[in-house]
Amino acid sequence: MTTRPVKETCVQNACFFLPFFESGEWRRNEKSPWKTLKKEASDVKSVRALAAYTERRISRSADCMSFLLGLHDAWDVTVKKDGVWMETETMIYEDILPRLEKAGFTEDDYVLYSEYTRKWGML
Amino acid sequence: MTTNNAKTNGGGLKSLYLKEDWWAVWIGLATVAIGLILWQFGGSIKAITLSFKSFSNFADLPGLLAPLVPKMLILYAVLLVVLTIATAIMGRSPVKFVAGFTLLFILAIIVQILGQFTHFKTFNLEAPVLALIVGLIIGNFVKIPEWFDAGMRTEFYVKTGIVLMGATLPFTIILEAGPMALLQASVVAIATFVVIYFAATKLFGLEKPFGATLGAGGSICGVSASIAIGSSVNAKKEHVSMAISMVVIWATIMVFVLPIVCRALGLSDGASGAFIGTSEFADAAGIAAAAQFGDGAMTTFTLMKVVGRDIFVGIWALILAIISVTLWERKKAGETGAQKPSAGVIWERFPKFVVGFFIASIIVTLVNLAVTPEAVAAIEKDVLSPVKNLRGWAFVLCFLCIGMTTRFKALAAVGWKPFAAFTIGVIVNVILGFLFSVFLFNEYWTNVGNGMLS
Repeated sequence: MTTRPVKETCVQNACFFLPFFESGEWRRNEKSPWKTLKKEASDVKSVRALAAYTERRISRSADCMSFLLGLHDAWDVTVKKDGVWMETETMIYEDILPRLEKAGFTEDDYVLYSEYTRKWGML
Repeated sequence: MTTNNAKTNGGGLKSLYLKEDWWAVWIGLATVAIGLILWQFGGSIKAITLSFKSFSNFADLPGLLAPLVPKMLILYAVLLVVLTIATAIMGRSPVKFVAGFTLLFILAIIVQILGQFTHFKTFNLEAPVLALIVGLIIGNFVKIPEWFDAGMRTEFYVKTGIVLMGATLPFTIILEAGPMALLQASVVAIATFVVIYFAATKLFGLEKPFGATLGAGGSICGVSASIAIGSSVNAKKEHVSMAISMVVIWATIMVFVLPIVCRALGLSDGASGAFIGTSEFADAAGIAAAAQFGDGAMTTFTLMKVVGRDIFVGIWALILAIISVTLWERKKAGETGAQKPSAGVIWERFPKFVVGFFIASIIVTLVNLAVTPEAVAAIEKDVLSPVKNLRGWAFVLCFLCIGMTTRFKALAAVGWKPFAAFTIGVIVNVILGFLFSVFLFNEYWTNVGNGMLS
């Protein structure tokens, strides 16, 4: 996969965070099951529901990770306790997002960060 | 598209030795501290400084330069060792840096010598602006080998120079004139940002993140601001590229135009520095312009640019990140909520070298307050004068790099709409800067430049 053939003055670091424990609840002003569990009376049923939710969430992140790895071969992958971080400077997020959407991944499946640095050392 | 602009990746404690900003702080502060310690024990840091005398005939050069060869080698060796260690710790190839820096230093020596040629001085072609011109000519007409790039650390040199500048600017002046600089810079920066943003989005129909990125570049601090704001609002890569191109084009033009205007109008050094600090949006380019005048211009420029504008880039980034996720993206996605960026972004985007600038200023001011007037004069001669000399070398290295890395052919293609929006902002910026610096506060900035505040 190549970047667009334009003259560039900056480098984009596209970083995708694939969460293990939340699924974009914060975007809908909803509470994460992890947060509600602490406040509500806990029972076996709610813990099992949380386990199922978490399994789905982590499995979805693994699917998204697999898709991104198939899309591009120059990812810097870091797995942390709360999710997977995938970063690349050789493919821009503008090219990645439509493919993610086409593959069925929604905004709940990832969090995107973009960070720019100078391509030249000027001004 | 929904994104999270709240990532804070300042790098923690590792950034203290992995980031150029912090190295500029350590090197600048160490220089000041060593200078004061040497002075305390009867020595002076001027042993590593180097100045050339004026000359009007090239035939005189061998006689003038021969006695200075040992000093050239000492300065070269000191800079090489310090900068190479920093570069290696930051994870870059020290071998490539040594090669690149050596060639850069030779060019800096040539430029410093040419800057003392009396005929060039007649046309105000002194070392800083000469370095920029020589750099632009080499960068745009000579194929520069790749290994040379490793030595061209523009930001590193300018940030170190700015920290050293802090030592020569008494903190009392910052406290006294800082609020006025802040007021003037903020009014002009906000007005310019709003003009560029609305021209871009309302007049020319460009995307809001693009408008914000253009506006930041033209109003806050050039490329640094475009990058910070572009990242905060998740602007597209091609848009950030275009914004940087606009900054480079206009900043380069202004380096030459603003000093010409100042001289044509007979402005004082203080008013010239304030005008340049308000209307030149890139730090390094502004220093190149202000350095064509006296120390008074550097003082008011620094107050306006570093104190009045640079320190707020983090706050701008946070505000625009909040606007981006709560208004632009929510509207686009039809969502009801979005994650708020954290205030951590303020510190993340804060130009850390400014911390060094303030600390250097505070250290020297406190020392000066604690000693006798005779000792203050001695500090000026044995510490601050050498620091100014080293600052001058840092800026000449920086200006050479700016020139050589500004390759106009490599600038991103810019459509007429972004160009028009940015240009409108540049015009507003220059007019407002002129009105404030020359009409409203001319006397004030002239007095600050002359060291006659209050």
